[in-house]
Amino acid sequence: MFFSGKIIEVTKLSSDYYKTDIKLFEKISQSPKPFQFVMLWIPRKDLMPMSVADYHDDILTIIFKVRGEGTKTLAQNPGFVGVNGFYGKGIKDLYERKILFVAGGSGVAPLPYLTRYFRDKISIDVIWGFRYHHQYFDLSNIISSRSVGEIFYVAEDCVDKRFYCGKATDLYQKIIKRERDKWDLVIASGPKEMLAKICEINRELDVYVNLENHVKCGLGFCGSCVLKPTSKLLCVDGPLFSCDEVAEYLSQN
Amino acid sequence: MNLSLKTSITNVKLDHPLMNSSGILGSEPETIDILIRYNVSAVVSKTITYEPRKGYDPPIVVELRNGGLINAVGLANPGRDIIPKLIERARRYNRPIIISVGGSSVKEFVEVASTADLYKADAVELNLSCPHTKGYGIEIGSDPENVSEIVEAVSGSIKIPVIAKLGLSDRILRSAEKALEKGAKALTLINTIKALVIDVYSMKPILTNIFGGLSGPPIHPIAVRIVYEIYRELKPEIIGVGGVSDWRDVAEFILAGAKAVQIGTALIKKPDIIPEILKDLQNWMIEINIKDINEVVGAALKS
Ligand SMILES: Cc1cc2nc3c(=O)[nH]c(=O)nc-3n(C[C@H](O)[C@H](O)[C@H](O)COP(=O)(O)O)c2cc1C
Ligand code: FES
Repeated sequence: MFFSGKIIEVTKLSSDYYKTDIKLFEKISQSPKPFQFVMLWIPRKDLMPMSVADYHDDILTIIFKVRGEGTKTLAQNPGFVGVNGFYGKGIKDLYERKILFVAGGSGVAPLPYLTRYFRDKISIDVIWGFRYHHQYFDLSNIISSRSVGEIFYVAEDCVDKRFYCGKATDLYQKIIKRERDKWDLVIASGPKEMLAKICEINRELDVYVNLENHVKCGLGFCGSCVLKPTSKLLCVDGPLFSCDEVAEYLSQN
Repeated sequence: MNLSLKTSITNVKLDHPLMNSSGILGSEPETIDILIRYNVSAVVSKTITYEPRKGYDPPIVVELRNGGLINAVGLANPGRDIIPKLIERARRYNRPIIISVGGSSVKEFVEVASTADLYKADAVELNLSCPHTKGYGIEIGSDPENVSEIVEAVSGSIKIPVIAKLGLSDRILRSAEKALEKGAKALTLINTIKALVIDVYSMKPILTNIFGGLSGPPIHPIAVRIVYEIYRELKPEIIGVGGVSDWRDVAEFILAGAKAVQIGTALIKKPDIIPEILKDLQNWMIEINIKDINEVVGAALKS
Protein backbone atom coordinates (compact mmCIF):
# COMPACT_ATOMS: atom_id res chain seq x y z
CA MET A 1 0.00 0.00 0.00
CA PHE A 2 1.08 3.59 -0.61
CA PHE A 3 1.21 5.90 2.40
CA SER A 4 2.04 9.57 2.35
CA GLY A 5 4.48 10.71 4.99
CA LYS A 6 6.47 13.65 6.23
CA ILE A 7 10.03 13.70 7.39
CA ILE A 8 10.23 14.86 10.98
CA GLU A 9 13.98 14.99 11.16
CA VAL A 10 17.18 13.82 9.58
CA THR A 11 20.13 13.09 11.85
CA LYS A 12 23.66 12.65 10.69
CA LEU A 13 25.14 9.65 12.49
CA SER A 14 28.65 9.62 11.06
CA SER A 15 30.55 10.57 7.92
CA ASP A 16 28.21 8.63 5.60
CA TYR A 17 25.31 7.40 7.70
CA TYR A 18 22.04 9.15 8.38
CA LYS A 19 18.88 8.35 10.23
CA THR A 20 15.51 9.81 9.40
CA ASP A 21 12.17 9.64 11.17
CA ILE A 22 9.12 9.72 8.92
CA LYS A 23 5.64 10.44 10.23
CA LEU A 24 2.99 8.50 8.32
CA PHE A 25 -0.28 10.35 7.82
CA GLU A 26 -2.34 7.24 8.25
CA LYS A 27 -2.65 4.56 10.85
CA ILE A 28 -1.20 1.36 9.52
CA SER A 29 -3.35 -1.56 10.56
CA GLN A 30 -0.52 -4.03 10.82
CA SER A 31 2.92 -3.22 12.18
CA PRO A 32 5.82 -4.50 10.12
CA LYS A 33 7.90 -7.50 11.06
CA PRO A 34 11.64 -7.15 11.46
CA PHE A 35 13.47 -7.40 8.11
CA GLN A 36 10.46 -6.28 6.15
CA PHE A 37 11.24 -3.31 3.96
CA VAL A 38 9.59 -0.31 2.33
CA MET A 39 10.00 1.36 -1.02
CA LEU A 40 10.64 4.96 -0.08
CA TRP A 41 9.51 7.51 -2.63
CA ILE A 42 11.25 10.87 -2.97
CA PRO A 43 8.68 12.68 -5.10
CA ARG A 44 9.68 12.72 -8.79
CA LYS A 45 13.28 11.82 -7.87
CA ASP A 46 13.71 8.24 -6.79
CA LEU A 47 12.23 5.11 -5.26
CA MET A 48 14.50 3.14 -2.99
CA PRO A 49 14.16 -0.11 -1.08
CA MET A 50 14.92 0.57 2.59
CA SER A 51 14.87 -1.72 5.62
CA VAL A 52 12.51 -0.82 8.42
CA ALA A 53 15.09 0.38 10.92
CA ASP A 54 12.49 1.17 13.54
CA TYR A 55 8.77 1.65 13.80
CA HIS A 56 6.49 2.86 16.56
CA ASP A 57 3.41 5.10 16.82
CA ASP A 58 3.18 5.62 13.05
CA ILE A 59 6.74 6.83 12.91
CA LEU A 60 9.02 4.95 10.58
CA THR A 61 12.78 5.18 10.99
CA ILE A 62 15.18 4.61 8.13
CA ILE A 63 18.96 4.36 8.43
CA PHE A 64 20.78 5.01 5.20
CA LYS A 65 24.09 5.72 3.61
CA VAL A 66 24.37 8.47 1.01
CA ARG A 67 24.97 6.81 -2.36
CA GLY A 68 23.03 8.34 -5.23
CA GLU A 69 20.67 11.15 -6.08
CA GLY A 70 17.83 9.76 -3.96
CA THR A 71 19.74 9.31 -0.71
CA LYS A 72 21.43 12.68 -1.21
CA THR A 73 18.06 14.37 -1.41
CA LEU A 74 16.85 12.38 1.57
CA ALA A 75 19.78 13.59 3.65
CA GLN A 76 18.72 17.16 2.87
CA ASN A 77 15.16 16.53 4.11
CA PRO A 78 12.81 16.72 1.13
CA GLY A 79 9.74 17.18 3.37
CA PHE A 80 6.93 15.03 2.02
CA VAL A 81 7.70 11.50 0.94
CA GLY A 82 5.81 8.32 0.07
CA VAL A 83 6.13 4.98 1.77
CA ASN A 84 5.14 1.80 -0.04
CA GLY A 85 5.01 -1.27 2.10
CA PHE A 86 5.53 -3.25 4.09
CA TYR A 87 7.18 -5.69 1.73
CA GLY A 88 8.66 -9.14 2.15
CA LYS A 89 7.89 -11.77 4.72
CA GLY A 90 10.35 -10.61 7.33
CA ILE A 91 11.35 -12.88 10.17
CA LYS A 92 9.23 -15.55 11.76
CA ASP A 93 8.52 -15.35 15.45
CA LEU A 94 11.41 -16.00 17.79
CA TYR A 95 11.32 -17.22 21.37
CA GLU A 96 14.19 -17.40 23.79
CA ARG A 97 16.82 -17.23 21.12
CA LYS A 98 20.40 -16.19 21.63
CA ILE A 99 21.28 -14.33 18.49
CA LEU A 100 24.53 -13.22 16.95
CA PHE A 101 23.79 -10.42 14.49
CA VAL A 102 26.56 -9.85 11.95
CA ALA A 103 26.20 -6.69 9.88
CA GLY A 104 28.22 -5.17 7.09
CA GLY A 105 27.81 -1.46 6.26
CA SER A 106 24.20 -0.35 6.00
CA GLY A 107 23.17 -3.95 6.67
CA VAL A 108 23.02 -2.85 10.28
CA ALA A 109 19.79 -0.91 9.60
CA PRO A 110 17.24 -3.59 10.68
CA LEU A 111 18.85 -3.98 14.13
CA PRO A 112 16.90 -1.39 16.18
CA TYR A 113 13.54 -2.76 15.09
CA LEU A 114 14.63 -6.36 15.60
CA THR A 115 15.41 -5.56 19.21
CA ARG A 116 12.27 -3.51 19.73
CA TYR A 117 9.98 -6.13 18.21
CA PHE A 118 11.17 -9.12 20.22
CA ARG A 119 12.26 -7.23 23.34
CA ASP A 120 13.12 -9.70 26.06
CA LYS A 121 12.25 -12.76 24.01
CA ILE A 122 15.74 -12.66 22.56
CA SER A 123 19.23 -11.73 23.57
CA ILE A 124 21.49 -10.39 20.91
CA ASP A 125 25.18 -9.73 20.41
CA VAL A 126 26.33 -7.68 17.46
CA ILE A 127 29.28 -7.57 15.10
CA TRP A 128 29.21 -4.49 12.89
CA GLY A 129 31.80 -4.05 10.19
CA PHE A 130 32.41 -0.98 8.06
CA ARG A 131 35.13 0.10 5.67
CA TYR A 132 36.38 3.35 7.21
CA HIS A 133 36.75 4.31 10.87
CA HIS A 134 34.88 7.58 10.30
CA GLN A 135 31.75 5.66 9.37
CA TYR A 136 31.45 4.49 12.97
CA PHE A 137 28.60 5.55 15.19
CA ASP A 138 27.55 4.18 18.56
CA LEU A 139 24.83 1.61 17.92
CA SER A 140 23.57 1.79 21.49
CA ASN A 141 22.29 5.29 20.70
CA ILE A 142 19.78 3.97 18.18
CA ILE A 143 18.68 0.90 20.10
CA SER A 144 15.90 1.25 22.61
CA SER A 145 15.95 -2.22 24.07
CA ARG A 146 18.04 -3.83 26.76
CA SER A 147 18.23 -7.12 24.87
CA VAL A 148 21.53 -6.14 23.27
CA GLY A 149 24.60 -7.52 24.98
CA GLU A 150 27.98 -7.07 23.41
CA ILE A 151 28.68 -4.93 20.37
CA PHE A 152 31.88 -5.50 18.40
CA TYR A 153 32.97 -2.90 15.87
CA VAL A 154 35.16 -3.88 12.96
CA ALA A 155 36.86 -1.45 10.56
CA GLU A 156 38.64 -2.42 7.39
CA ASP A 157 40.96 0.59 7.36
CA CYS A 158 42.57 -0.44 10.67
CA VAL A 159 43.45 3.08 11.81
CA ASP A 160 41.36 3.39 14.96
CA LYS A 161 42.45 1.15 17.79
CA ARG A 162 38.94 0.95 19.24
CA PHE A 163 37.85 -1.26 16.36
CA TYR A 164 38.82 -4.77 15.47
CA CYS A 165 40.97 -4.62 12.35
CA GLY A 166 39.63 -6.47 9.32
CA LYS A 167 36.25 -7.55 8.08
CA ALA A 168 33.13 -8.51 9.97
CA THR A 169 33.53 -12.03 8.62
CA ASP A 170 37.06 -12.28 10.07
CA LEU A 171 35.87 -11.53 13.56
CA TYR A 172 32.87 -13.77 13.09
CA GLN A 173 35.07 -16.68 12.08
CA LYS A 174 37.25 -16.17 15.08
CA ILE A 175 34.61 -15.90 17.77
CA ILE A 176 32.30 -18.52 16.37
CA LYS A 177 35.13 -21.01 16.62
CA ARG A 178 35.88 -20.05 20.18
CA GLU A 179 32.42 -19.57 21.62
CA ARG A 180 30.14 -21.57 19.42
CA ASP A 181 27.66 -22.55 22.10
CA LYS A 182 27.01 -18.98 23.09
CA TRP A 183 24.43 -18.48 20.30
CA ASP A 184 21.76 -20.60 18.73
CA LEU A 185 20.94 -18.33 15.80
CA VAL A 186 23.08 -16.23 13.49
CA ILE A 187 21.55 -13.47 11.38
CA ALA A 188 23.80 -11.79 8.87
CA SER A 189 22.93 -8.65 6.94
CA GLY A 190 25.07 -6.94 4.35
CA PRO A 191 26.63 -7.33 0.91
CA LYS A 192 26.30 -10.60 -0.97
CA GLU A 193 29.97 -11.64 -0.72
CA MET A 194 29.87 -11.21 3.02
CA LEU A 195 26.72 -13.31 3.33
CA ALA A 196 28.15 -16.05 1.12
CA LYS A 197 31.18 -16.16 3.40
CA ILE A 198 29.09 -16.32 6.58
CA CYS A 199 27.13 -19.23 5.18
CA GLU A 200 30.38 -21.08 4.45
CA ILE A 201 32.09 -20.48 7.77
CA ASN A 202 29.78 -22.56 9.88
CA ARG A 203 27.30 -25.01 8.44
CA GLU A 204 26.04 -26.45 11.70
CA LEU A 205 24.58 -23.31 13.23
CA ASP A 206 21.18 -21.97 12.28
CA VAL A 207 22.20 -19.13 9.95
CA TYR A 208 19.92 -16.66 8.19
CA VAL A 209 20.97 -14.01 5.72
CA ASN A 210 19.26 -10.71 4.91
CA LEU A 211 19.72 -10.21 1.17
CA GLU A 212 19.76 -7.20 -1.09
CA ASN A 213 18.86 -7.33 -4.77
CA HIS A 214 17.27 -5.19 -7.44
CA VAL A 215 13.75 -4.43 -6.33
CA LYS A 216 11.51 -2.65 -8.82
CA CYS A 217 7.93 -3.49 -7.98
CA GLY A 218 8.19 -4.92 -4.46
CA LEU A 219 5.01 -6.87 -5.10
CA GLY A 220 6.19 -10.00 -6.85
CA PHE A 221 5.25 -9.42 -10.48
CA CYS A 222 8.23 -7.83 -12.26
CA GLY A 223 10.74 -10.58 -11.58
CA SER A 224 13.69 -8.20 -11.16
CA CYS A 225 14.47 -9.52 -7.66
CA VAL A 226 14.45 -13.21 -8.56
CA LEU A 227 17.42 -14.92 -6.93
CA LYS A 228 18.72 -16.82 -9.93
CA PRO A 229 19.11 -19.70 -10.42
CA THR A 230 16.50 -20.33 -7.72
CA SER A 231 12.93 -19.23 -8.31
CA LYS A 232 12.70 -17.31 -5.05
CA LEU A 233 11.61 -13.69 -5.12
CA LEU A 234 13.41 -11.49 -2.63
CA CYS A 235 10.50 -9.08 -2.35
CA VAL A 236 7.92 -11.74 -1.54
CA ASP A 237 9.78 -14.68 -0.01
CA GLY A 238 12.54 -12.69 1.72
CA PRO A 239 14.57 -10.70 2.20
CA LEU A 240 15.63 -13.04 5.03
CA PHE A 241 16.52 -16.59 3.97
CA SER A 242 18.24 -19.56 5.52
CA CYS A 243 21.62 -20.31 3.96
CA ASP A 244 20.21 -23.51 2.46
CA GLU A 245 17.40 -21.74 0.66
CA VAL A 246 19.75 -19.44 -1.22
CA ALA A 247 22.93 -21.51 -1.43
CA GLU A 248 22.84 -21.65 -5.23
CA TYR A 249 22.29 -17.91 -5.48
CA LEU A 250 25.10 -17.09 -3.07
CA SER A 251 27.55 -19.34 -4.89
CA GLN A 252 27.21 -17.25 -8.06
CA ASN A 253 29.01 -13.96 -8.51
CA MET B 1 -20.16 -36.43 -9.18
CA ASN B 2 -17.72 -35.86 -12.03
CA LEU B 3 -17.36 -32.15 -12.56
CA SER B 4 -15.32 -31.02 -15.53
CA LEU B 5 -13.51 -27.71 -15.61
CA LYS B 6 -11.59 -28.70 -18.72
CA THR B 7 -11.73 -26.28 -21.59
CA SER B 8 -9.76 -25.16 -24.60
CA ILE B 9 -8.75 -21.98 -26.36
CA THR B 10 -7.75 -22.03 -30.02
CA ASN B 11 -7.62 -25.82 -29.67
CA VAL B 12 -5.05 -25.58 -26.88
CA LYS B 13 -6.32 -27.97 -24.23
CA LEU B 14 -6.54 -26.58 -20.71
CA ASP B 15 -7.07 -28.53 -17.49
CA HIS B 16 -9.12 -25.65 -16.17
CA PRO B 17 -10.02 -22.13 -17.32
CA LEU B 18 -7.58 -20.11 -15.21
CA MET B 19 -4.25 -18.73 -16.36
CA ASN B 20 -2.12 -15.79 -15.32
CA SER B 21 -2.49 -12.63 -17.34
CA SER B 22 0.50 -11.24 -19.18
CA GLY B 23 2.78 -9.10 -17.04
CA ILE B 24 2.55 -11.21 -13.93
CA LEU B 25 6.06 -12.70 -13.91
CA GLY B 26 6.93 -14.74 -17.02
CA SER B 27 9.79 -12.75 -18.49
CA GLU B 28 12.49 -15.10 -17.17
CA PRO B 29 12.53 -18.90 -17.05
CA GLU B 30 12.91 -18.84 -13.24
CA THR B 31 9.64 -17.01 -12.83
CA ILE B 32 7.82 -19.57 -14.99
CA ASP B 33 8.53 -22.01 -12.15
CA ILE B 34 6.61 -19.66 -9.87
CA LEU B 35 3.62 -19.45 -12.21
CA ILE B 36 3.51 -23.25 -12.34
CA ARG B 37 3.39 -23.29 -8.54
CA TYR B 38 0.48 -20.88 -8.76
CA ASN B 39 -1.35 -23.60 -10.69
CA VAL B 40 -2.04 -21.84 -13.99
CA SER B 41 -3.56 -24.04 -16.72
CA ALA B 42 -1.41 -22.25 -19.27
CA VAL B 43 1.55 -19.95 -18.78
CA VAL B 44 1.23 -16.54 -20.39
CA SER B 45 4.57 -14.78 -20.80
CA LYS B 46 5.27 -11.15 -20.11
CA THR B 47 4.90 -9.18 -23.34
CA ILE B 48 8.10 -9.76 -25.29
CA THR B 49 9.39 -7.19 -27.76
CA TYR B 50 11.97 -7.42 -30.54
CA GLU B 51 14.72 -5.68 -28.58
CA PRO B 52 15.23 -5.80 -24.79
CA ARG B 53 13.43 -3.00 -22.98
CA LYS B 54 14.45 -1.57 -19.64
CA GLY B 55 11.03 -0.12 -18.93
CA TYR B 56 10.41 2.92 -16.76
CA ASP B 57 12.30 3.79 -13.61
CA PRO B 58 10.43 3.06 -10.37
CA PRO B 59 7.84 3.91 -9.15
CA ILE B 60 6.28 1.57 -11.70
CA VAL B 61 3.30 0.62 -9.57
CA VAL B 62 1.01 1.99 -6.88
CA GLU B 63 -1.34 -0.06 -4.71
CA LEU B 64 -4.62 1.77 -4.29
CA ARG B 65 -6.95 1.73 -1.33
CA ASN B 66 -9.86 0.52 -3.45
CA GLY B 67 -8.10 -2.76 -4.19
CA GLY B 68 -6.91 -1.59 -7.58
CA LEU B 69 -3.40 -1.27 -8.86
CA ILE B 70 -1.94 1.28 -11.23
CA ASN B 71 1.16 0.23 -13.11
CA ALA B 72 3.48 1.71 -15.68
CA VAL B 73 6.16 -0.89 -16.12
CA GLY B 74 6.86 0.22 -19.68
CA LEU B 75 6.99 -3.28 -21.15
CA ALA B 76 10.31 -4.13 -19.50
CA ASN B 77 11.46 -7.46 -20.95
CA PRO B 78 14.63 -9.22 -22.12
CA GLY B 79 13.74 -9.17 -25.82
CA ARG B 80 12.95 -12.00 -28.24
CA ASP B 81 16.01 -14.13 -27.45
CA ILE B 82 14.37 -15.20 -24.20
CA ILE B 83 11.46 -16.88 -26.00
CA PRO B 84 13.02 -20.35 -26.53
CA LYS B 85 14.07 -20.43 -22.87
CA LEU B 86 10.58 -19.57 -21.67
CA ILE B 87 9.05 -22.24 -23.88
CA GLU B 88 11.58 -24.85 -22.81
CA ARG B 89 10.84 -24.11 -19.16
CA ALA B 90 7.07 -24.51 -19.57
CA ARG B 91 7.65 -27.74 -21.49
CA ARG B 92 9.47 -29.22 -18.51
CA TYR B 93 6.15 -29.04 -16.73
CA ASN B 94 4.14 -30.12 -19.74
CA ARG B 95 2.18 -26.91 -19.48
CA PRO B 96 0.90 -24.96 -22.49
CA ILE B 97 2.60 -21.60 -22.99
CA ILE B 98 1.24 -18.54 -24.73
CA ILE B 99 3.83 -15.97 -25.72
CA SER B 100 2.59 -12.40 -25.39
CA VAL B 101 3.97 -10.37 -28.28
CA GLY B 102 4.51 -6.62 -28.39
CA GLY B 103 5.90 -4.28 -30.99
CA SER B 104 6.02 -0.75 -32.28
CA SER B 105 5.68 -1.78 -35.91
CA VAL B 106 4.10 -4.54 -37.98
CA LYS B 107 7.53 -5.95 -38.67
CA GLU B 108 8.39 -6.23 -34.97
CA PHE B 109 5.14 -8.05 -34.22
CA VAL B 110 5.84 -10.49 -37.05
CA GLU B 111 9.45 -11.10 -36.00
CA VAL B 112 8.65 -11.79 -32.36
CA ALA B 113 5.63 -13.95 -33.20
CA SER B 114 7.76 -15.90 -35.69
CA THR B 115 10.28 -16.68 -32.95
CA ALA B 116 7.45 -18.04 -30.79
CA ASP B 117 6.25 -20.05 -33.78
CA LEU B 118 9.71 -21.42 -34.56
CA TYR B 119 10.12 -22.76 -31.02
CA LYS B 120 6.56 -24.06 -31.00
CA ALA B 121 4.76 -22.05 -28.39
CA ASP B 122 1.14 -23.10 -28.13
CA ALA B 123 -0.13 -19.70 -29.24
CA VAL B 124 0.78 -16.04 -29.36
CA GLU B 125 -1.23 -13.30 -27.73
CA LEU B 126 -0.74 -9.99 -29.51
CA ASN B 127 -0.63 -7.19 -26.99
CA LEU B 128 -2.47 -4.48 -28.92
CA SER B 129 -3.55 -2.62 -25.84
CA CYS B 130 -0.91 -1.52 -23.33
CA PRO B 131 -2.24 1.87 -22.15
CA HIS B 132 1.01 3.42 -20.95
CA THR B 133 3.80 2.65 -23.40
CA LYS B 134 3.89 5.12 -26.21
CA GLY B 135 3.81 3.59 -29.64
CA TYR B 136 3.39 0.04 -28.33
CA GLY B 137 -0.15 -0.26 -27.17
CA ILE B 138 -3.56 1.21 -27.11
CA GLU B 139 -2.74 3.70 -29.86
CA ILE B 140 -2.41 0.64 -32.06
CA GLY B 141 -5.29 -1.36 -30.63
CA SER B 142 -7.87 1.38 -30.67
CA ASP B 143 -7.43 1.88 -34.40
CA PRO B 144 -9.21 -0.98 -36.19
CA GLU B 145 -7.07 -0.44 -39.29
CA ASN B 146 -3.85 -1.01 -37.36
CA VAL B 147 -5.29 -4.07 -35.70
CA SER B 148 -6.29 -5.37 -39.07
CA GLU B 149 -2.85 -4.87 -40.55
CA ILE B 150 -0.92 -6.42 -37.64
CA VAL B 151 -3.18 -9.44 -37.23
CA GLU B 152 -3.17 -10.12 -40.94
CA ALA B 153 0.62 -9.92 -41.18
CA VAL B 154 1.19 -12.13 -38.13
CA SER B 155 -1.48 -14.71 -39.03
CA GLY B 156 -0.05 -14.94 -42.51
CA SER B 157 3.46 -15.69 -41.30
CA ILE B 158 3.04 -18.21 -38.48
CA LYS B 159 1.40 -21.57 -38.00
CA ILE B 160 0.49 -21.42 -34.30
CA PRO B 161 -2.80 -19.75 -33.32
CA VAL B 162 -3.02 -15.99 -32.91
CA ILE B 163 -4.93 -14.43 -30.04
CA ALA B 164 -5.54 -10.67 -30.12
CA LYS B 165 -5.58 -8.84 -26.79
CA LEU B 166 -7.66 -5.69 -26.98
CA GLY B 167 -8.21 -2.89 -24.52
CA LEU B 168 -11.05 -0.57 -23.68
CA SER B 169 -11.77 1.87 -26.49
CA ASP B 170 -14.77 3.29 -28.29
CA ARG B 171 -14.09 1.18 -31.32
CA ILE B 172 -13.28 -2.10 -29.61
CA LEU B 173 -16.10 -3.91 -31.42
CA ARG B 174 -14.76 -2.86 -34.77
CA SER B 175 -11.20 -3.82 -33.76
CA ALA B 176 -12.45 -7.21 -32.59
CA GLU B 177 -14.27 -7.75 -35.85
CA LYS B 178 -11.16 -6.88 -37.86
CA ALA B 179 -8.91 -9.10 -35.77
CA LEU B 180 -11.16 -12.12 -36.27
CA GLU B 181 -11.61 -11.42 -39.94
CA LYS B 182 -7.84 -11.29 -40.46
CA GLY B 183 -7.13 -14.57 -38.75
CA ALA B 184 -7.19 -14.20 -34.96
CA LYS B 185 -8.56 -17.42 -33.47
CA ALA B 186 -9.49 -15.87 -30.12
CA LEU B 187 -9.63 -12.56 -28.26
CA THR B 188 -8.28 -11.64 -24.85
CA LEU B 189 -10.42 -8.90 -23.31
CA ILE B 190 -9.35 -6.51 -21.71
CA ASN B 191 -6.09 -4.83 -20.78
CA THR B 192 -5.59 -2.26 -18.02
CA ILE B 193 -7.33 1.12 -18.37
CA LYS B 194 -5.33 4.33 -18.57
CA ALA B 195 -5.37 6.08 -15.21
CA LEU B 196 -3.55 8.50 -12.91
CA VAL B 197 -2.70 8.65 -9.21
CA ILE B 198 -1.51 11.77 -7.36
CA ASP B 199 0.07 12.06 -3.91
CA VAL B 200 -1.95 14.78 -2.21
CA TYR B 201 0.82 16.03 0.08
CA SER B 202 3.71 16.41 -2.34
CA MET B 203 1.02 17.22 -4.94
CA LYS B 204 2.77 15.13 -7.55
CA PRO B 205 1.83 12.18 -9.75
CA ILE B 206 3.39 9.10 -8.18
CA LEU B 207 4.35 7.03 -11.22
CA THR B 208 7.53 8.02 -13.02
CA ASN B 209 5.59 7.77 -16.28
CA ILE B 210 2.81 9.88 -14.71
CA PHE B 211 0.09 7.77 -16.38
CA GLY B 212 -0.42 4.09 -15.77
CA GLY B 213 -2.88 1.28 -16.35
CA LEU B 214 -5.57 0.50 -13.79
CA SER B 215 -6.19 -3.15 -12.96
CA GLY B 216 -7.93 -5.11 -10.24
CA PRO B 217 -11.49 -5.11 -8.85
CA PRO B 218 -12.39 -1.56 -10.00
CA ILE B 219 -12.24 -2.59 -13.68
CA HIS B 220 -14.08 -5.89 -13.40
CA PRO B 221 -17.61 -4.78 -14.33
CA ILE B 222 -16.22 -2.93 -17.34
CA ALA B 223 -14.39 -6.03 -18.50
CA VAL B 224 -17.52 -8.14 -18.08
CA ARG B 225 -19.46 -5.64 -20.15
CA ILE B 226 -16.92 -5.79 -22.97
CA VAL B 227 -16.84 -9.59 -22.99
CA TYR B 228 -20.63 -9.67 -23.07
CA GLU B 229 -20.94 -7.20 -25.93
CA ILE B 230 -18.25 -8.77 -28.09
CA TYR B 231 -19.65 -12.24 -27.48
CA ARG B 232 -23.13 -11.07 -28.34
CA GLU B 233 -22.05 -9.54 -31.63
CA LEU B 234 -19.32 -11.91 -32.84
CA LYS B 235 -19.41 -15.14 -30.79
CA PRO B 236 -15.63 -15.59 -30.84
CA GLU B 237 -13.54 -17.59 -28.39
CA ILE B 238 -12.80 -15.20 -25.55
CA ILE B 239 -10.33 -15.11 -22.68
CA GLY B 240 -11.83 -12.77 -20.09
CA VAL B 241 -9.48 -10.69 -17.98
CA GLY B 242 -9.88 -7.78 -15.60
CA GLY B 243 -10.40 -7.53 -11.89
CA VAL B 244 -11.00 -11.13 -10.98
CA SER B 245 -10.65 -11.57 -7.25
CA ASP B 246 -12.85 -14.59 -6.54
CA TRP B 247 -14.85 -17.41 -8.18
CA ARG B 248 -17.88 -15.19 -8.69
CA ASP B 249 -15.90 -12.88 -10.95
CA VAL B 250 -14.74 -15.88 -12.98
CA ALA B 251 -18.29 -17.22 -13.20
CA GLU B 252 -19.46 -13.84 -14.46
CA PHE B 253 -16.88 -13.85 -17.25
CA ILE B 254 -17.92 -17.34 -18.29
CA LEU B 255 -21.60 -16.47 -18.27
CA ALA B 256 -20.81 -13.38 -20.37
CA GLY B 257 -19.12 -15.56 -22.98
CA ALA B 258 -15.53 -16.29 -21.94
CA LYS B 259 -14.14 -19.81 -22.35
CA ALA B 260 -11.08 -19.07 -20.23
CA VAL B 261 -10.10 -16.41 -17.71
CA GLN B 262 -6.83 -14.73 -16.86
CA ILE B 263 -5.91 -13.36 -13.46
CA GLY B 264 -3.39 -10.58 -12.89
CA THR B 265 -3.66 -8.32 -9.88
CA ALA B 266 -5.33 -10.91 -7.65
CA LEU B 267 -2.54 -13.37 -8.34
CA ILE B 268 -0.06 -10.78 -7.08
CA LYS B 269 -2.02 -10.23 -3.91
CA LYS B 270 -2.90 -13.86 -3.31
CA PRO B 271 -0.65 -16.40 -5.01
CA ASP B 272 -2.77 -19.39 -3.94
CA ILE B 273 -5.98 -17.97 -5.39
CA ILE B 274 -6.30 -20.37 -8.34
CA PRO B 275 -6.88 -23.64 -6.43
CA GLU B 276 -9.29 -21.77 -4.19
CA ILE B 277 -11.34 -20.45 -7.11
CA LEU B 278 -11.40 -23.87 -8.77
CA LYS B 279 -12.85 -25.44 -5.66
CA ASP B 280 -15.47 -22.70 -5.34
CA LEU B 281 -16.39 -23.00 -9.01
CA GLN B 282 -17.09 -26.68 -8.51
CA ASN B 283 -19.41 -25.89 -5.62
CA TRP B 284 -21.18 -23.44 -7.87
CA MET B 285 -21.50 -26.06 -10.60
CA ILE B 286 -23.14 -28.41 -8.13
CA GLU B 287 -25.54 -25.69 -7.05
CA ILE B 288 -26.59 -24.79 -10.60
CA ASN B 289 -26.55 -28.43 -11.58
CA ILE B 290 -24.06 -28.62 -14.43
CA LYS B 291 -21.34 -31.20 -15.03
CA ASP B 292 -19.26 -29.35 -17.57
CA ILE B 293 -18.27 -25.71 -17.25
CA ASN B 294 -18.63 -25.26 -21.01
CA GLU B 295 -22.38 -25.69 -20.68
CA VAL B 296 -22.72 -22.17 -19.30
CA VAL B 297 -20.34 -20.22 -21.54
CA GLY B 298 -22.39 -17.22 -22.65
CA ALA B 299 -25.41 -18.36 -20.65
CA ALA B 300 -26.19 -14.80 -19.57
CA LEU B 301 -27.11 -13.96 -23.16
CA LYS B 302 -29.74 -16.61 -23.52
CA SER B 303 -33.20 -15.30 -22.87
C1 LIG C 1 1.89 -5.08 -13.26
C2 LIG C 1 1.15 -5.39 -14.51
C3 LIG C 1 1.87 -5.60 -15.68
C4 LIG C 1 1.20 -5.88 -16.86
N1 LIG C 1 1.90 -6.13 -18.00
C5 LIG C 1 1.24 -6.51 -19.12
C6 LIG C 1 1.93 -6.89 -20.30
O1 LIG C 1 3.16 -6.93 -20.36
N2 LIG C 1 1.22 -7.25 -21.40
C7 LIG C 1 -0.15 -7.27 -21.39
O2 LIG C 1 -0.74 -7.64 -22.40
N3 LIG C 1 -0.83 -6.91 -20.29
C8 LIG C 1 -0.17 -6.55 -19.16
N4 LIG C 1 -0.89 -6.21 -18.03
C9 LIG C 1 -2.35 -6.25 -18.06
C10 LIG C 1 -2.86 -7.58 -17.52
O3 LIG C 1 -2.44 -8.64 -18.32
C11 LIG C 1 -4.39 -7.58 -17.43
O4 LIG C 1 -4.93 -7.40 -18.72
C12 LIG C 1 -4.93 -6.48 -16.52
O5 LIG C 1 -4.09 -6.32 -15.41
C13 LIG C 1 -6.32 -6.76 -16.02
O6 LIG C 1 -6.38 -7.91 -15.22
P1 LIG C 1 -6.38 -7.90 -13.61
O7 LIG C 1 -7.38 -6.90 -13.18
O8 LIG C 1 -6.72 -9.31 -13.23
O9 LIG C 1 -5.01 -7.52 -13.20
C14 LIG C 1 -0.22 -5.92 -16.86
C15 LIG C 1 -0.91 -5.70 -15.67
C16 LIG C 1 -0.25 -5.45 -14.49
C17 LIG C 1 -1.04 -5.23 -13.24
S1 FES D 1 10.77 -6.57 -7.17
FE1 FES D 1 9.35 -7.11 -8.66
S2 FES D 1 9.14 -9.23 -8.31
FE2 FES D 1 10.35 -8.60 -6.66
